[in-house]
Amino acid sequence: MSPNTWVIEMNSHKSRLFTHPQAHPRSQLSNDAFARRAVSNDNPVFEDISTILSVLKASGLLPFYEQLSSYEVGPPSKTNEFYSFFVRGVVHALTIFNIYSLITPNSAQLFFSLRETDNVNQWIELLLCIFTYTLTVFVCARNTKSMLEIMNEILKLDKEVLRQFGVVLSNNCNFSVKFLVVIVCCQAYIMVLRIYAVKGAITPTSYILIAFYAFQNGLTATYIVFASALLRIVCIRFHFVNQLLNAFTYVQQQKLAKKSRRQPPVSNMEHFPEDSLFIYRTHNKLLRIYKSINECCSLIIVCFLGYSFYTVTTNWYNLFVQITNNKGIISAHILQWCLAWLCLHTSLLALLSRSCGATTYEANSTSQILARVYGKSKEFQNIIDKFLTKSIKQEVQFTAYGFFAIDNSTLFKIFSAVTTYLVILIQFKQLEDSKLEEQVQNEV
Amino acid sequence: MLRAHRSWYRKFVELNLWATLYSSWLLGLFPFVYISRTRRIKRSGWLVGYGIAFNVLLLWLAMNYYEATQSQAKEELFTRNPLAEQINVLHNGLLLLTVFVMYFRNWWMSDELGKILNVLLELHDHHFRRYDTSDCYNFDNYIVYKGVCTMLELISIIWIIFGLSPRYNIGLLVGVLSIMVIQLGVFMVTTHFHICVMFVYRSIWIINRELLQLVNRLTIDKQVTKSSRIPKLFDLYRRLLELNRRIVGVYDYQITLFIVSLLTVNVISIFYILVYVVSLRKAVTFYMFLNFLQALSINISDFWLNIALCDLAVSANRSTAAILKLFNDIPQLDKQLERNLNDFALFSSHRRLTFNHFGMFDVHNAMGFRMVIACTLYMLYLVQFDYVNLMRTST
Repeated sequence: MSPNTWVIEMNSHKSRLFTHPQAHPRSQLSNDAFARRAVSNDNPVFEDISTILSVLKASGLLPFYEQLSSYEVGPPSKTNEFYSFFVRGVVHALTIFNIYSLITPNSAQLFFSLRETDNVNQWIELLLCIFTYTLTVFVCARNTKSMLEIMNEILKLDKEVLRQFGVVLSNNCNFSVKFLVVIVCCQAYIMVLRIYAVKGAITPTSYILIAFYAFQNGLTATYIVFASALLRIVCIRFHFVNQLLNAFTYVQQQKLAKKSRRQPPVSNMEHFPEDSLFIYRTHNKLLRIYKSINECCSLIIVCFLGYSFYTVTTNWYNLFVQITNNKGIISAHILQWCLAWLCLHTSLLALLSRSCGATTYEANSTSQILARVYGKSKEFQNIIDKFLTKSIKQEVQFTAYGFFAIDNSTLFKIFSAVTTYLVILIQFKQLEDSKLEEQVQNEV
Repeated sequence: MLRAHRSWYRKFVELNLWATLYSSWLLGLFPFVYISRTRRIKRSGWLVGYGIAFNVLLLWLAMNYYEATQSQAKEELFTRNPLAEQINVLHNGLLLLTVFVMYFRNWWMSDELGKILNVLLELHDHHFRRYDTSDCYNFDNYIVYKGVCTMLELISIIWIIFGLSPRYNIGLLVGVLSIMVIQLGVFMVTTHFHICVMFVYRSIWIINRELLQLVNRLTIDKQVTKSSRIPKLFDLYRRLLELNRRIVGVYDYQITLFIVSLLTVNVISIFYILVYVVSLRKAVTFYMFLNFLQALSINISDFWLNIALCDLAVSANRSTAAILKLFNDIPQLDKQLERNLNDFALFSSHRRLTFNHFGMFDVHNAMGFRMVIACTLYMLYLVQFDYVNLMRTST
């Protein structure tokens, strides 16, 4: 029984709330930075992340869904479904070709390094990249339905907010386009560096390998940006709920009371019972969406974190080897190469951990805000207690397949792990070097 | 079509359960008889005696013919790397200890286990039997996983021993057979724990479904504001938690030692293969590589099954608390119902289902991840040791 199957019909309650929307004190809501008043009918859904969505749709990772109305998306049509299927098939065929050419000497041209261990590192990195992307494709194909469900749930929630408060929640996901540009630039740059580094004429197989490698890296990174964007969208909804609740807190009530001292007193608290029901319901729904996103993406995120951990470690290690071997003279090529990788992966890790952290913070702060609400009568106190008793010890977390929680501390943890492994790798290198020296001495 | 497939699958699940029961009886590891008149099980002294005699005989056989099962490749490795031999001796000691402790605890705690099983039977008969559990897919899947895993482990042992040593004789055959039967016994004990936890999981799953149905009814039908089922579910939940604590108490030593021995087997086998390939500079044939890979993957999946099982039950328990939250937005609830819900919510947030061994660690996915990371680090340290050894021998 997964939480996706929780179906709760709330029609009766909606209609009751909708009967007196005018009587609500909503002036404070329009000041909200995330809310803007706009009524438009034919806008495409998720306009803010449309670029990233179209990239993912074209690569078969997301379905080409049909837009039924401005608040609903439907399953893809047969032709589009076939297209996604076809793209996935091509990707898998290319992957098999790649693995085949990695085993055969066709790819020997690409492994040009002098040291044996460096080539092994590159090999492992390539295999990890292939594995991560293949897993992403498989998981996406399996989760097509739940992804659409998540989108529909978010849209349904938006619709309800619009009906209740006349507010269109913006998504504020402009960062996705910037990240897309960064990814494309980094991958193109790395591709050029790679092609320049190869000695002699390049065979078509090498071209295919390099291009597909960049393609895989880019798309995995794009998916991570998409997951972050989804989390940001959920974060904004959580924030909206918290803002709603914040208006009822003791401090806000005091401010309002001061303002209206000259006018006859208007109590805002009289709408608290109705609004609290809406808030609780929205909060539950948001938690469910949050959990579904976690379930959909967690396997991909675990894999990506492992891959980028490995990449970051090997690149730091390469930099270190360069510095110690050549007595301070660093080859420009390797420097650029390592920096491009480090820049890409560090920014992605930072984005992921930040958006997870922000969403988790917003989700957990609802009960804190509720605890500050001024419950002047027994009835209000009961409403507040009802929520608080059921939220004890129930901190939500965005986990990487239950292995560890992803939030702002993850970045720190990953970098401390990178340092530890770097030390171990360097120890290995020193052992290897001293062994080589001894062999040379023995031969002399 | 789907339904036919489903019924076939359920039969397979039942087959797994029956196979576990009969093989445990045969190995003398399940010293209970079922009395159909009272619908209870009773411990039988005869079965305990049979189990002890049978397993002592098996251990004696295995020790006697141990030499015959050693392979050529291992001997070469030990002459090259004395550290590997010491580790091997230690590891064998650990495995023997695991077997002794497992069997001893199994008989020692059988009285308590019998009581627990009786409580489970009673709960099933009086409360959970009437619910339809045909769509509790995880229950079926995990029973099948465990059965398949046990079979694969046994096949993998045969494959490794016969694949590595070409000197066939009667000693080898008897040695392998006795080792296999002992291993089967160990797996059976862990399977008992597995099945107990699965039954607890299914009961919690039923409670969750009941709660969800209640929420749905209350939200759709505004006339209904009362329900008397909550206190009953609460009571069942409380009893299940208590039962789970007792089950974990009985299987503390067994499961911990089993997990530890699985992990050490993995670390040591990877270490051996590295020494064999890198230090001895021997070419690994494809067959050997395959052999190594299958043993490793089966071991890892068995280990992960132990972790995932606990995580499944823990997450089902966590969703109980989440479902109780859904009662928040129903406007008009009966006073009594409200109070019962609050009690349930408070209890479920303060007391969770945990698989805490010796009060030292909880088993869930995060713990499993940490274990895997620790093993990787230990393997790296071992390989570094080998490098140091290599330098000494070369100078």
